[in-house]
Amino acid sequence: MAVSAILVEAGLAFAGAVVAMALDAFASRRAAAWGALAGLALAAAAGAVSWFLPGLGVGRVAIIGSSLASTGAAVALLAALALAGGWRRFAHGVRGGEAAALVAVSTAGAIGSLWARDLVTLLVLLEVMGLAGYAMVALAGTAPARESAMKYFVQGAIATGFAVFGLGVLYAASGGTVAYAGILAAVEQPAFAALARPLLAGGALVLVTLGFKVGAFPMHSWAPDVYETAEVADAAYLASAPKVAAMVALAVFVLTALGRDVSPAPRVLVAVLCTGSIVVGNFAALSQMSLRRMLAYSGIAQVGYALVALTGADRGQAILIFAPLYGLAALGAFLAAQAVGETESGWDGSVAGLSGLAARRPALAAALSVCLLSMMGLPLTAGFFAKFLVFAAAVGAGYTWLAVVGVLGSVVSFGYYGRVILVMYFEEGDGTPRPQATARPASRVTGAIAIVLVIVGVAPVFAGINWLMTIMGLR
Amino acid sequence: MAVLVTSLVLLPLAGALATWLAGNSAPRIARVAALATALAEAGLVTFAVVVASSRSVAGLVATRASGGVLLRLDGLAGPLVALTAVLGVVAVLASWRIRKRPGAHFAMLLALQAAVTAVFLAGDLIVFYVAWEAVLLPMFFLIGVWGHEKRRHAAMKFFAYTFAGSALMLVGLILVVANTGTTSIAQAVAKGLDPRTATLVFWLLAAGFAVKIPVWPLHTWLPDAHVEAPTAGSIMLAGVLLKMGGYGFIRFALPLAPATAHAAAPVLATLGIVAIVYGALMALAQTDLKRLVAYSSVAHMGFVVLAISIGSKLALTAAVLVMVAHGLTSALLFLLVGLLQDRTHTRDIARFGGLLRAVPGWGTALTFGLLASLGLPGLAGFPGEVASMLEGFRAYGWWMTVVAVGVVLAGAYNLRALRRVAHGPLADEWRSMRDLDLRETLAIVPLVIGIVALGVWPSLVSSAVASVAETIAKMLGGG
Repeated sequence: MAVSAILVEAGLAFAGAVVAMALDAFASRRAAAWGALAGLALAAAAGAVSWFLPGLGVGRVAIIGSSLASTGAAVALLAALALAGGWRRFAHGVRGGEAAALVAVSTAGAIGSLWARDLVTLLVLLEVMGLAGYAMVALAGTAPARESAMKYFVQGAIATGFAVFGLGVLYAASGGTVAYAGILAAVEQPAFAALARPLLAGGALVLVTLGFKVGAFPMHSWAPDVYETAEVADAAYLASAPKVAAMVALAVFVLTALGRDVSPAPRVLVAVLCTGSIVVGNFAALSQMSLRRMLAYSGIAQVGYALVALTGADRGQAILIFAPLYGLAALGAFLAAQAVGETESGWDGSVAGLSGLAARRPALAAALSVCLLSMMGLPLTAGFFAKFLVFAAAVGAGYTWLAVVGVLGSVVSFGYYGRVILVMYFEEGDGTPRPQATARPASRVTGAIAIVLVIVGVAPVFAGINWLMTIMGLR
Repeated sequence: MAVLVTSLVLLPLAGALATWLAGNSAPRIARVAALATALAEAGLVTFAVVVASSRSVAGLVATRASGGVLLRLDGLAGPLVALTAVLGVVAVLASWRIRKRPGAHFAMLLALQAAVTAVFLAGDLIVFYVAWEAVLLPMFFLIGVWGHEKRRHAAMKFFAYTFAGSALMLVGLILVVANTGTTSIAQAVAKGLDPRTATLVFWLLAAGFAVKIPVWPLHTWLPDAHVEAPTAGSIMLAGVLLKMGGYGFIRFALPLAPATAHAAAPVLATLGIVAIVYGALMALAQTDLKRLVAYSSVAHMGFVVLAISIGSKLALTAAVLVMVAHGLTSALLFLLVGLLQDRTHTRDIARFGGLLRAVPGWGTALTFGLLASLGLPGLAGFPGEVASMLEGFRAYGWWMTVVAVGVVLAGAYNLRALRRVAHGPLADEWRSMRDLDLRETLAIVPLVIGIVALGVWPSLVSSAVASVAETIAKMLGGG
């Protein structure tokens, strides 16, 4: 069929945004949120349907180079969960329905960027994703939020500048094409030998932009400010859905345009990005007091692990599993922060402030622990198999040292993930009774995410690791 | 029979769920459920080991629906699974009167037991690694929530050290999977690795196992973790968790990389010998009774490393013997120290004396435990340590005199502890101390029986291990 399932997903997400804006203007903000949620849920459902009906034009085989409808569905699902987890602001808060519309617009851009197979389309769709993101951060309305939105925007503009420059170089050096296939053809067989270097340089410039979008070293400095100052539900969205999409879009660019097997340069470039992200992210996260800043820095490290998959010899299957599972765990952790903030009005957002949470909110503390352990990559959580596949890809391609860097990064990550668990479980709290509230959407969504993470972490032990591949449409 | 093997892991897990649900509101139900589970597990293990020993060399196997071995109970796993089951019962009895969140405590103990059992039974590399890491969490919580004064620090240190080791081990396992294309242990061993990969695999795996054993100088997590852990935690930690390292060497590192293991023998032997002497010297210097027992573990596990480095059939059998013996002995000593601390709220050796008169039952048990620890003939420690020394003489010659010094030092620290704690003048403050009650005696009895049985009849374990040890020794080029 002519219509690709992934475009249907992007279209449904965009339709959700349009409906949300209309309903926000003519009905209530709650109706607007329902509209956006419906669009995102339908987008996710469309992905699932296309998976079950291979005749719709998408094979079940999702490797990089084919349609990525299953990844698009995962992105839509993450966005929908982020919206649902932050539901309280639509039900009780003062925020208008534009917040919901922004999430839907941004998601449409994110899903679209997975579909892009040329640089112009990619950059336009990534800007759609990014612009909605900048606005989302600024909407929080506080002075720090405005400042970090500005920072985010300026850095994003500079990064896009790099991309436009890179686009120009690639266009010239490849003989007038911006399509991945054309760039790859030029890389594999340059018209002149002298063009090999400009092609690589152009590719590197585009990677800088994509590195900004995923928050990889050295373009990561916006992430901590943004995740800390945006509304928690928006931070939860920004840390999951767009990041997952950008990781995969970056992988698509590296694998289908840069000609990974022609010269070792793309792999080396990726390995440098990985090592930098893993080292900087992990060590910076160690010294954070604020839970959300810690999650932001740890997210930088996680991008590093994800990109390790690109050194592998396969078609990037590992990143297609790693990215959504990381997004899910990160979403759960941010929504846990949302849930704590909703019920404990005195919480200052610090890790230390979670002291004794396990005694007050046992289910929430357990769910947050599962999300953190999954990001740490501990077995019996989904994150273990995600990391296993990523590192196995690297080891299979002879990048054993990169896998060692990765696992040592995971060990360091115990220092900050484990500290949260320690504070919640091993400390008694200050003993002052805090206002308790009934379960809110945020804690319910976090709990559901934790359950999924455990199921995905346990099932492959019994079913064999191929089970994961099947679920993600990789087999 | 596959169900039987699987249920060895699932039974404690189900028990953990039950005690957790029974929860903290009904501590009596929780602990009765925990004890019932531990006893049922012990019975089931006995049955399974008997069935497995009557079978062929391959032992009892549980497979996946999609094919491939999931769990395997053979002669090497049998003794260690049995040890785990015995200590599971002892640990529940030892923490019978725990007040803080009893439901969660017993759930953690049983979950720990399930995970350790799965480590010993794993027939698949992924299952092995998952189980290996699954051991960490319950232990982390046992130390961190129910431990003593510096429990948080000890819990973090324990987790960080062992996680660092096992992360490197994971890369080693991934290398094996990537190069052999299978996750089955037996198939991976059968396919073999090229020499360069094998060397890398050996050292990566060794990193994980060495931290767990622990090999000097990677042992520094051990004293903190053992001392700060609650009694039941110390029993499981010293009794079975350390054995995972030795088991890993014998099951994975040696068969997967026999040539490297052969080349690495001098390094391992040196580390083992250093641990024997260093552990004993440190034990001699302790003023804290629990710390003394902890350092004695370093020394005893040194014998395991020494025996593994030799790699002959007798030496590997001796390694398993020492592991089981140390499991029983250290569990007994940690239990006794824990009981003493419950009564006196101190572990300071200098404050004790004459306890044999005040609490004759406890004092007799301590005498027995310390004598077993120093390797008295007729008790569990003797056969394994003597066998590893004899094999050591054959392999390394007169270097064994250094080990002999360690043995003398073991006599010194054990007897010194015995004299200071059980004999001498009795301090007034302990005059009215309560002696062992029925529950405490019941916890001690299985350990005493095990220690005597293994001392007079070591072939109880060695005959089970023999065939596996022989196969591995042949791979290493020995007999």
